[in-house]
Amino acid sequence: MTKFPFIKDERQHAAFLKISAAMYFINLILLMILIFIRQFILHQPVSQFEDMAILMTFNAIFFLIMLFYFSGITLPVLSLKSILTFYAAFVLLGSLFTIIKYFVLMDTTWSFSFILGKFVIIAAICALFTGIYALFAYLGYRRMEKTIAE
Amino acid sequence: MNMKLKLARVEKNLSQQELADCVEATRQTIGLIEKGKYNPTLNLCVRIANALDKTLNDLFWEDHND
Repeated sequence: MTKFPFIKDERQHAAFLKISAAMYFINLILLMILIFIRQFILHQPVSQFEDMAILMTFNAIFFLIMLFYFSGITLPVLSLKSILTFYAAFVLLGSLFTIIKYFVLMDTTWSFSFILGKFVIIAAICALFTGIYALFAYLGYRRMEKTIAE
Repeated sequence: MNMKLKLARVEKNLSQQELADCVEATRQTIGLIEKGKYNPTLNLCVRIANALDKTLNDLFWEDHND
């Protein structure tokens, strides 16, 4: 039935996947909380939790890429409007995170050049990720269409 | 509760474990299907129907008049 000897049938397989997904989310959120605690409560230097941050970031990025590729979530790639909406939401989320990080948690002083600099970085990173996600969503869509056509 | 499945299994003189072995499932899964607590995939439904020499309709179709 499955390649795991301890999973005997489809019901167990479904339960295994459901619990794995829930545990993955819990792990990811706990990792994020841990990073916030180290950065903003314990005031540790970035070098002390950089590995955790990199692990969490790559994990989240690949998780989304796989979801798009295997059509776990759908991004209608042929529509420019939907890609732009996704990009705008991404930039908004990134901006909110940056505002909270620098101006609430780190108490940084406001300056136009600082905000502009951060916004350019956010816009560029979000554009890169949106491009990657759109590409994988498109490849996943083509893979699915090919399977149906066979 | 899926009484049709239970009746068909008993009619064939099969225990839950024997049916489970025939269709590559666990006894618990068969028990849960009979209790109506688990929705099997179409693949498993077909295997169960074949094992009991019934059609999918005989085992899983619920008529509104039932």
